[in-house]
Amino acid sequence: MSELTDENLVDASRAGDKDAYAVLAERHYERVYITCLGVLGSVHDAEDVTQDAMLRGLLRIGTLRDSSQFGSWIVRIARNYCVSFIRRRVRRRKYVGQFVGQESAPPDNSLVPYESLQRAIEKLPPESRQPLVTYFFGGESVRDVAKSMKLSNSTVYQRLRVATQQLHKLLIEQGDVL
Amino acid sequence: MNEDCERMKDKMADHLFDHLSAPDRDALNEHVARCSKCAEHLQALKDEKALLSDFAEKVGAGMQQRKEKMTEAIQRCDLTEPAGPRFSWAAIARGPVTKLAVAAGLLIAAGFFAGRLLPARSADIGQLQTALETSLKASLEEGIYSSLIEQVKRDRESALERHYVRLKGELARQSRYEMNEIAQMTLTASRTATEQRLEELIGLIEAARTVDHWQIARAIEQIESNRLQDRTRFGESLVSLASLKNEITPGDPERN
Repeated sequence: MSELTDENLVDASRAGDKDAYAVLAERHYERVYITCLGVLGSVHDAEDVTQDAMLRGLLRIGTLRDSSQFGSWIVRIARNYCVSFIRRRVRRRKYVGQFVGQESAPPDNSLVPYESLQRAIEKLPPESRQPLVTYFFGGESVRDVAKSMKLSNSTVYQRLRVATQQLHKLLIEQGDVL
Repeated sequence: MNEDCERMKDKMADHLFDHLSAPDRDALNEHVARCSKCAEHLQALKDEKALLSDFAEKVGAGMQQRKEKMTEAIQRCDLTEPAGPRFSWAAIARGPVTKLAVAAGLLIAAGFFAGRLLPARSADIGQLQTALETSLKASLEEGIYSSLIEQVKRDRESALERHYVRLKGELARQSRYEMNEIAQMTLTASRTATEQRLEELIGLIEAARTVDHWQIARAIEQIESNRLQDRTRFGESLVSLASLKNEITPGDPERN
């Protein structure tokens, strides 16, 4: 099934074929995940939101008009989910976060050593975080980052430079100087 | 840390992404070789970049596991579950407004068919005529009454308007007259008061002059009296002087 095009898989998904949708979702998973990570800054939140967005895509696949546009459509859904997630997170932190210092322990133990780095990434301004995450976690070149974010190469370099300096400053503030 | 160090910080960040020209890279290396703080800073940035790459690698390593979890979730997903608020004819059909509209339509249709299907009763012409007459009369009377009311209202309004204009003119005239009267009275009163004051002043001046005349007369009288007294005394003095002279030289015939 993996050799089928997005259009074929979308058509099959519309007919209720979950396997077809699973292949489609797996194909676009990484892009959606990196987008969510760029917006949210947390690997665990990004995972949750990506899954929610994918499931919503499955339920609403009937509303997708152009089957070839599944990739941008699902990314758009994920972005909207991120926005609502941030709103919920702000409310939660406002009422609960003041009593609980750490919201929850990361379930993936292999990422524990990077906890402070992740906190710093999360604190970065969105315009700095998105290119930094796309560059490092998406494994994309500066040119690809510029293309996906619809920016010039020099702007991406400039944002990466600023993001690096801001990250360094945040790590120092957290007391995590390397 | 001087200005040179601050400028080098940007170059260090660019150096991390291989976005530095050869001369800039040489300048940076040269600076870092002689500035220990900048060397430390550059090393920290390099370490952070390495940590980021490491972290990204770890996150990437867990990607397959996440995909599998998502696939399981997709398989568990109930496709009949509503996918949040969206435009749907079925949802609209199930809505309360639709139900109300359908109920109203049914009622109207039932009324229509009941009217059409029930047998029509024979008409009573006399009763119909009476009813029509009463109705027409009532409607005509109502029309005449309302037009009459309108006419009376218009007449009353125009009369009121005329009276208002007349009253306004009369009031203005009266007001002007009153103002003139008040002005004249004020002027007269003022003139009378001024004359009275002048008379009083003249009286005072006259009285003062009389007193002065009297005092002058007394002074003149006193002077005259003093003069007469002085003359009498002078005469007596002359007499006494002459007698004294006679007593001193009695035989000198040439002096007599």
